[in-house]
Amino acid sequence: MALIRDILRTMDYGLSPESSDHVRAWLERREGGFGLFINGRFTPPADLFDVFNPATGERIARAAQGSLSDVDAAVAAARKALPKWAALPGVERGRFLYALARHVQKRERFLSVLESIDNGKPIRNPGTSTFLSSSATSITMPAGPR
Amino acid sequence: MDQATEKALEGHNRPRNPGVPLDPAWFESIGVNTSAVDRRAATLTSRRSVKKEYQAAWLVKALTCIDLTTLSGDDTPERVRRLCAKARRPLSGELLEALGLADAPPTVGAVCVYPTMVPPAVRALEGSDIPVASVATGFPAGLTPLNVRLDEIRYAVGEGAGEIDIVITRAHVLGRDWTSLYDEVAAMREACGRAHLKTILGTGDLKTLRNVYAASMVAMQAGADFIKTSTGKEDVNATLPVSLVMVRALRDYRERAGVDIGFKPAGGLRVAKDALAWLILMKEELGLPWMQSDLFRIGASGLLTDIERQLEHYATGRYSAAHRHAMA
Repeated sequence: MALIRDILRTMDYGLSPESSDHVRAWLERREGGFGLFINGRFTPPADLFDVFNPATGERIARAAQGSLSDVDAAVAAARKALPKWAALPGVERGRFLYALARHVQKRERFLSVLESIDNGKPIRNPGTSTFLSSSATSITMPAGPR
Repeated sequence: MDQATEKALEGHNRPRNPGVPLDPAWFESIGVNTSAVDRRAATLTSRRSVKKEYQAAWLVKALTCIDLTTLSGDDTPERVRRLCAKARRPLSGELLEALGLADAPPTVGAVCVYPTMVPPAVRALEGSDIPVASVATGFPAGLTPLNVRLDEIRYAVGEGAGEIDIVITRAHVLGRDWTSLYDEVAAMREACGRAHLKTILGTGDLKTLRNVYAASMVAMQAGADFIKTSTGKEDVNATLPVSLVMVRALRDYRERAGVDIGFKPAGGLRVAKDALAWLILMKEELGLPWMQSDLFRIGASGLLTDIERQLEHYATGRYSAAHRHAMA
């Protein structure tokens, strides 16, 4: 810990780290690796590659390498789901999109920290990670005003 | 006169601003983009945070920059004496121990009083190196005749004030009468003798940021050693956007004239967080030298109480009641 008399000379801002404990605990529980999200559920993790935090070089997780057949399965599932989704009235679709955006917003803190660990960039402005707020916005936008 | 008192009389240790001849070209063509100023002021403090021991150190630094002020109609020599005691030893022994500063206890930057309260303040601060600052020139309106205002300055300096806080005639700014403003401030600088001159612009009365910039520049050209936002008696006192404009003017003056001018926000800084905000402004816009008491002062009285409370919280993890930190 820096001494107050020393800080009085340099007047540095000092570290103001965001706690990443809950994100690390979450990652630890998924030590087995991440599968692919296809047709509403995760596939069993297979053919894993390591994911690093570029800022520290530390391995943070393992994720599945998608194969051709995985892509085919995902496309098939999407094709199958599309007619039912397209038949929904706009208001109904908007409801789903809003629910999705709310989930992102509610976990914004968590996702910002996770994103920062994943891409190695500092969290610049607490609570306003550009990537996340814009992804929440881009989900809500097509849902129209409510 | 011992050495410490001698030093106190000198005010801060910087050489005085000699001033330059009035040159409207330095400010007449300067525009101020209000939206950009607001944005810069808003983001300065939201992008930075100072936590834990760094916050404690910054608060101690803010404390050393305070002009501990009492400017009330009911000021008495006794109250001034108590205020000076507080100025000499603002933090308790336990707190100093916890902060690791027991061997070099910080003091405030100066004590700021009305001219008639200068003698008791000078007596109470004898032997410390804390200067006495006196408001003068018909504070806070500044609308008494010029010769009376100049006499007031000479009186305060004669009684031992090391720094003089003057108010400008706002009418000169509103009427864009730069020559009158320049002559007025220059005459006051002359009357100050060896005391340092802090010029209060009364930014709450100046209406536009362009006026704030121009008034800052004229005051510095006329030889002000500090520019100060407000008397603390206007409807709107120190704000970050106004401070930003003044600080930029100060930078421009420094670039052209090569003289370092101090900055003093006053009024409106009540809680420790405000002090941090202004320190961040000074660090970002001017750097480390402008975070020291010879180039940065905060005009406040209640602020010290909150700084003490926050420091106590840092040291003990608990907040103390404000009444435990008696001021005067």
